[in-house]
Amino acid sequence: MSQAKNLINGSGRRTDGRTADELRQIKITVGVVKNADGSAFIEFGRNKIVAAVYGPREVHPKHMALPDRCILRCRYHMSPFSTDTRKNPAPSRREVEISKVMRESLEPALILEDYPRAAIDLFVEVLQADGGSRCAGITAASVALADAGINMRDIVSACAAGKIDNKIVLDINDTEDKEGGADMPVAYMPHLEQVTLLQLDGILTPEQFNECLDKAIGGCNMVYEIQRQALMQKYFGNETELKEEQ
Amino acid sequence: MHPNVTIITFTKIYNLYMKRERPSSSPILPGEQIAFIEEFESGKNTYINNGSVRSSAVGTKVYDFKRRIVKIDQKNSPMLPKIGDIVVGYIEMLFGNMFSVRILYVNDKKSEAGFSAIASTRLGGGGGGGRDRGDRRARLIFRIGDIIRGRVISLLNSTVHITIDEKEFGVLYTLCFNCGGDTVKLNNAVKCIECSIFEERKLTNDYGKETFRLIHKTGNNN
Repeated sequence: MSQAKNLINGSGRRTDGRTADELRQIKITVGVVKNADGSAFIEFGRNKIVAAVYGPREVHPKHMALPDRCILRCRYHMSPFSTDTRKNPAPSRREVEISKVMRESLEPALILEDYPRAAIDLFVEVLQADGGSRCAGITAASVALADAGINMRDIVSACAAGKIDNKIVLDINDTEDKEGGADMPVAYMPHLEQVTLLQLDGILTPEQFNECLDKAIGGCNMVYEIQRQALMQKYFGNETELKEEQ
Repeated sequence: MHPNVTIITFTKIYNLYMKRERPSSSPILPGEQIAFIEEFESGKNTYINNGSVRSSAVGTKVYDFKRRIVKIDQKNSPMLPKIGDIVVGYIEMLFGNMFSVRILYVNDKKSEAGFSAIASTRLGGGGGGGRDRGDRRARLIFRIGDIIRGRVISLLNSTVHITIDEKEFGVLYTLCFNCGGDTVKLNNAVKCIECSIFEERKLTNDYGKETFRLIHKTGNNN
C-alpha cells in the first residue's frame, strides 16, 4: 500500500471526482433471478453484483443439518470477466475468505432458529468489480434474503471507509484500495446499531480508527436507505409514501 | 333515557369489538420498531429486542387491540409445510411401520425445497392411537415411487408428519410392481392394464381421474 500518487487533489476531490464523505452511485433491483427464492442486483459505482437466495430447503448432505437451527451457506464468486485481466473461475483463497466473512456478517441478522434442519444457500456473483465488492455483496445479499422472506432481525448494510493521502474518506474504490493507506469494510445493522463485520487492512492511529468507523457506519446508514427504497418499491410500489397511522 | 339511545351505543361498542384487528397500511421492513413491550405483545413475524417489538419480515403491521398483540402480515413467506397443508409427494423410503415422502407440492403449488415427510403405514396414525387397536390394524402396502397425497398433522421435532387416513388421501398414482404398466382403480386395489395383476393400496377417492396430471400442470406454471 504505497502512496505514490496524489489521490486527493487541491480542491478536495478524489480520483473519481467525489468528496471525502460521498458514496458512489448505488442502484439496487430486487427479484432479478426468476428461479431463486429471493434475489437482488446491485450497482455500487462500477461494481455489478447479483445475489441469489435459495431456501430454506433440505440440507444435502443430510449430516450437515442442525436439529435446532438452519445453516447458512454462502458462496462469493468473481466471474472470469469481472476484472481487467481474466480471473481464474476456480475459488481463490480470497473468495473462500470473503464467503466466510460474508456468512458471518449476515448470520447475526437472520433468525435461523425458525428453520431447523434446513439450509439457506446464498450465491453472490460479481459480474464487474471495482473495489468494495464484499460490501456491495453483503448489501445485495441482505436484500435478497429479505426478498426470500427469511425472518431477519435487521437488514445488513455494508460500506467501507479508508485512509488516502492521510485523510479518512468514505467508500474507497479500486484505485484508492490499491494505492491508499487503509481500507476498513464495515457491515452494520442500522436499527439494532450493531456492527456485524469489521475488517482493517492498513495502519490507523486510534483517532483515525474511530473516525474511520464513524464514517463507515454513516455510509452504512446511507446504503440502508437505498436498500429500503428498493424493497419498498418491489413490495409496496407507490404505497411507499404512506405514513404511520398510529 | 330513550331505549333507542341504548341500542345505538351497544351497536357501536359491538362494531368496535368485532373490528378489534386493525391492519395498518404502513409498510414495514425487518428490524423496524413497531411497538414497545408495554404497549403490545410480540405476535407472528415479530421479535423483542431491548424493550421494543420489532418486525422480522417484510409486510404490514396488524394491531390486535383486544388482545394487545401486534403481528406482521408477511408479503413473501417462504413455502414451508404447515399443519393442515395438503401435500403431494413420492415415497422415497419404506420402513417397518412408516414411510418417507419427498414433498413435491404444498397446497397444489410446486415446492422446490425438497423437504421430506413421514407417514404411518397403518391407518389411525399408527402406534399410539388406541390402546387395543395397534396390532389389529392391517399394515397397508406401499411401494417406493408411489405418488401420495396427505395432510400435515404435526411438525414435531422439526419433522413433517403427514396422515393419509381420510378418503381423499392415499396413493394418487402408481405403476404396476410387476411390469411397470399403467394401473386402474378396482375397489381398494390397483389393477395393471398390461398384465392384469392386482395389488392392494390405500387409494385416494379420485385415483385415475387425472388429478395428479392437473396438479402437475398447475405446479409447473407457478
